[in-house]
Amino acid sequence: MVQRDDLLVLGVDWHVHYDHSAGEIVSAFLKGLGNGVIQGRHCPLCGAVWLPPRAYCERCFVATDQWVSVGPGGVLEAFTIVGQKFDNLPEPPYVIAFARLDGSDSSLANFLTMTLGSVEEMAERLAVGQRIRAEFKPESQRQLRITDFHYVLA
Amino acid sequence: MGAPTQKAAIIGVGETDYQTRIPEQTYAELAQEAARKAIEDAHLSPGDIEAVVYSMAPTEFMGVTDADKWAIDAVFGRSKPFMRVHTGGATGGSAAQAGYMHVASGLYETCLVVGADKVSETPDAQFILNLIWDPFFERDFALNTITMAALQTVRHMAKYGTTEKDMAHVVVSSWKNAQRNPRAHLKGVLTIDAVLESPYFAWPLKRYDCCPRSSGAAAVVIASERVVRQKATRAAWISGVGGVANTVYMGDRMGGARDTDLCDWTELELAAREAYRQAKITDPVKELDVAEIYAPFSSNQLMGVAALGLSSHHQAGALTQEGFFDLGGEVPVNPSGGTLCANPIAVTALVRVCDAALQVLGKAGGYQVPNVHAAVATGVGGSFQFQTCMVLTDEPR
Ligand SMILES: [Zn+2]
Repeated sequence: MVQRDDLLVLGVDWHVHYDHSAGEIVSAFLKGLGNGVIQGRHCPLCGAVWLPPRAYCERCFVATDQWVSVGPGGVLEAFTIVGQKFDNLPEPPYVIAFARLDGSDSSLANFLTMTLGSVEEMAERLAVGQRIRAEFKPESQRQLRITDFHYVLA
Repeated sequence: MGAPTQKAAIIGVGETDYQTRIPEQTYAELAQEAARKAIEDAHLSPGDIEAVVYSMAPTEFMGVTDADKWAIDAVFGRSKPFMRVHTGGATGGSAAQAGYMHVASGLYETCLVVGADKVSETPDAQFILNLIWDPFFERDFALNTITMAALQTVRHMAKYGTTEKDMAHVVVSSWKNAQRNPRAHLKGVLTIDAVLESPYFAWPLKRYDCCPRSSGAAAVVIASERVVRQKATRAAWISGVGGVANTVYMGDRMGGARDTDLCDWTELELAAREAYRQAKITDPVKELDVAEIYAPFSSNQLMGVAALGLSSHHQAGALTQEGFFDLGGEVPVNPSGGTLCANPIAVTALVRVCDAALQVLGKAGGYQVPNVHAAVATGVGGSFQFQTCMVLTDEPR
């Protein structure tokens, strides 16, 4: 594109803070993480255990009725190895994974930590269907956030 | 579900060129260019437009919240019914369907569907795309359009044996097609090796497997059968529409006993089934002459052709490599170059509708497919959770 001296731009920055309400169900889930427990919500009709936990089974349209502890083992359902640097994110390479923890019916996203190598080398050591395990941070470092645990290869 | 009370057709198409930045025009001026071109193409004047549907996805890319308001006067919407439609990347497909419903309901004789985007007004597009995820469970994990497409693609490879080479063929073919499209953003001669050797953004997706960030605008004028007959104009008849939404959680759409699979584009399969039923299409390979599939990543085209019934999931890669979907092939896919060669997000799915309409109208110029009687256009948005499908034909059905 030819640079034109007669055209101006106006630079603008946004700095915005939010306080997102977690609600009763998500708050209970996050507090569980502080105790090293990952819990899904059970549907009394179809029997599914949902993660992220939901107050209502959106398939059956009934309230979920109990907490069920899941994992720490599970199955890798999808993964990617990021090879590109994005602002405010870790230095590549790192692995984003979706895993279905034992006892649950849906998959949760998290980072998967493994021995680093080139993107291709890391890809060769990963496969859909592989066993993984959820590993918690030491208790003193937990923040009642989803980042209190991550996945490792089982 | 009921039936339309009158037939509706696209009688005007307007598009700007697609490029990274368009510093010569403000956002509203850009939208106006497409609106004006579509109305002129329909041989109407702004006063003939009875309602406006505005196609606008997340507004954070161009940094003016709900920018549709900015454009109302510019797109000749003043004193008319006006609504904005937003389903992420599928926005343009949903907007075209809303425009169709305005006319097919019998409530309006004409409707302008128009929108614009300036995705490169900010350098932080992937940051903005991360904001669509749940802040408690998903946003922390670097999810954005590239990584979510990579996660989906890994499943397609594991399930169907799709290879990076299959995907590279989609890119080479798209860039080649785009050379015939004067409005395309990216175009040129790429080799399979150049695609395969480009750096990994998120394995298995490499630089050339990914769409650009584009600015541009698009519009169509939709009119009733009465207006078409009065004007004695050529028309691309909207013969079938389908739209399907699904949960934002990708983890609900993989493995176990789940009823849909992220990598199967089940939502598009269902949307297409409905659109084909309305358009009386039973054998899409034989009856569709061209497909404009919203495929922002190369692997998405493989998922799209299967969801549209143009191939099985297992064969999509092999058929692509054989040229089945090339210009001159059995069912040309994205002769315009598609989304891999221009992605002005708010209107990309509307661009698919424009390009499909141009094919039916015989006005696609250098990328015209001969003898088009039926074309299909799709749109996908959110976490691959919205899919739209529209069938356009040369005669009403
Ligand atoms: Zn249920």
